[in-house]
Amino acid sequence: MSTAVRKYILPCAGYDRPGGNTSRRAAEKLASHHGDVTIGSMGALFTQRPGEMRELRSSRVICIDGCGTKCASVLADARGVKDALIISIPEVSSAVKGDQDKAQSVVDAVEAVFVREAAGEKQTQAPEEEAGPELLEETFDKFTLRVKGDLRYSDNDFWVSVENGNVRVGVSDFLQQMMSDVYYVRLAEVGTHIQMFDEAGAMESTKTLLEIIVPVSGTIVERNSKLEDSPELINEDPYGRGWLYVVNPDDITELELLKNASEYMTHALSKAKKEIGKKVKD
Amino acid sequence: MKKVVVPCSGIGKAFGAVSRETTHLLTQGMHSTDYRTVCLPLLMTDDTEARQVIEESEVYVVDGCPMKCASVVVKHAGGKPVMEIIVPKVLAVNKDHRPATVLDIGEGGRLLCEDIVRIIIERGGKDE
Repeated sequence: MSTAVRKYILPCAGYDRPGGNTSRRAAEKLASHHGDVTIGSMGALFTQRPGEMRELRSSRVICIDGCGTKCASVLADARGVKDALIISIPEVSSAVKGDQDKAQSVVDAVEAVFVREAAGEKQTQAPEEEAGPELLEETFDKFTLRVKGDLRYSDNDFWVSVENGNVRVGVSDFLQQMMSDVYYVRLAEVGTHIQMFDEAGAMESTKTLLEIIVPVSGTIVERNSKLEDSPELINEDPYGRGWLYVVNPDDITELELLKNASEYMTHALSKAKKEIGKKVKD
Repeated sequence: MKKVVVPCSGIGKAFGAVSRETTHLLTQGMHSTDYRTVCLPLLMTDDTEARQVIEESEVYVVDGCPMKCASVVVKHAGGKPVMEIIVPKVLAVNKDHRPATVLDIGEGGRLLCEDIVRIIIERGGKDE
């Protein structure tokens, strides 16, 4: 398990500029070489999307500017990052020919800093993530697992919370990371009765089609119809606005069969390790 | 009136790659005489020249997700997009055209780009 600070690479998004393409290629290479690298989105940062801001605040920030306008570093600065590592493509790769070689020169420059900082020559700690005290967090390879402390969880990565005798159901942060971008959600109708671990609707993402497995028996009394127009809420806010159903339970004691946050964290870490192992074998 | 297509900045995401590839098809392919693009970050930093292009053009935005960052940026810069396309919503109509990965969107992703190009060219200005 790693406790190292994650890296947030913010490439220039200038699609129509040579520097933009070099910056994008370099970022994609770095992300493919390093499990702890996240590629930032200038658009998401500009609009201050919560998930993007969370990544920014909890990571070492590296801006790759494609031209002298330095939009990436200007934007990071405007979002409160004052200690970003700034790589300027004109400065790093102006003497290098060819798109691939230019991108590689940027990768080399960034990796050299990774090595230096890992050796403690210059260790800049990113500020702690602004997580609530109830949010448990562990990092393993590319996964940063966030488990909300006051919920219970099923083995197949759905959470439940009890609210006024009803049970709210949603997707864990680990599951939304595994699914990647959700673009379609089909929810069961209000009034549908389900048995514990029955399927009720489905979610489709860029990676997979997944059935919604409800971890409690009962009748659906509310469904999050906002997800039909905004399925991305599952990725943006899995423990909040991305909830799926509210169920009137047949037997509330069924929830005792589910895992508490600490047990689920162990379970999710084990799954994450298997996932990494599977990719290595592939 | 000039036609400008603006892709999303979602680097590292398959839908962002589809957005950029769609822009490439329109601005570098057989439609290059009709369409051009503009640097999205320059719109964020209020670059005068980029803003002028947006204000004086018919703008088509291709967003990689329903958060529509590119559309937000275009409007911030004073643009009034005639069409705001969300890539996964086009995919939801024809689910066979699914992009593979960000590094290679694959045949499905290429077909999805062609779907979006067709929507822009055939229904240009009529956002449905």
